[in-house]
Amino acid sequence: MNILTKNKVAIFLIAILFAGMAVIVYQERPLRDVVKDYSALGELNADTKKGLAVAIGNYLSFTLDEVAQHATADDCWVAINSSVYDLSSWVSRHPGGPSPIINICGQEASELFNNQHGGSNVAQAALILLKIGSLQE
Amino acid sequence: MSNFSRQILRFSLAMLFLWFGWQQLSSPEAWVFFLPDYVAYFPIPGEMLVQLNGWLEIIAALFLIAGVYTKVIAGLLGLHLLGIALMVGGATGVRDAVLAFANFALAFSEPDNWTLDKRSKS
Repeated sequence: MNILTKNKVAIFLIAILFAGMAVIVYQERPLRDVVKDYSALGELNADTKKGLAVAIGNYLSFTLDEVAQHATADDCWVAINSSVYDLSSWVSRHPGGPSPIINICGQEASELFNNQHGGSNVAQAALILLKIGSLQE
Repeated sequence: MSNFSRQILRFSLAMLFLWFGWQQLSSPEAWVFFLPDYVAYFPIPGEMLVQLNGWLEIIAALFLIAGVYTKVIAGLLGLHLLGIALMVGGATGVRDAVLAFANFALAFSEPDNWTLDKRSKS
């Protein structure tokens, strides 16, 4: 058996790797009905909440009234550009200090965010995994 | 290390990665909690990241089973596991660190007689 056979096997496996990755990236993700009411997560710890939010964040939607019920530093939801974010864990990590975040908890803050961070990819990226759903118009 | 020992080590590690890779691929929601905070800056969903990692581990396991570039793959898997061990910490971290060093043991030993690495030389 020569080295060509070995390399053929390696190339074959790498091809399967990329094909599988393409399937994973482009697969249609089913709507999950694990949690429709985020308040049901109240008894779970922060890490579990974060994990669930990561897993199902794109499929939940909330009204502005629901967002307004989470208006404290420990429980801080904010609506920005039609998405709803749980910024509770971000309050203490915000580079500009906690006050700007605390002041917008429970509110629609698109204008404020766009004025302050509109052109910042870093700020946009920081929001991605804090997303817990979309805002019902 | 004897030829038989290296075969046991290689297939055992391959089974390990096949099993956990399949678990990540089929039930990503059960693994997403282990993702570190910096994943928040990635532009892809956590579930997808877990599935991609699972698929990568499955293919790496197939490389080990076939015995293709065994030393390189075992070394990379060792580094991968060591990274996870340092990130997770605790008892799980200790377990993963030990498994990482088992990978390094395979990486630093000569390929056994059942590998394509060995057969391609003969």
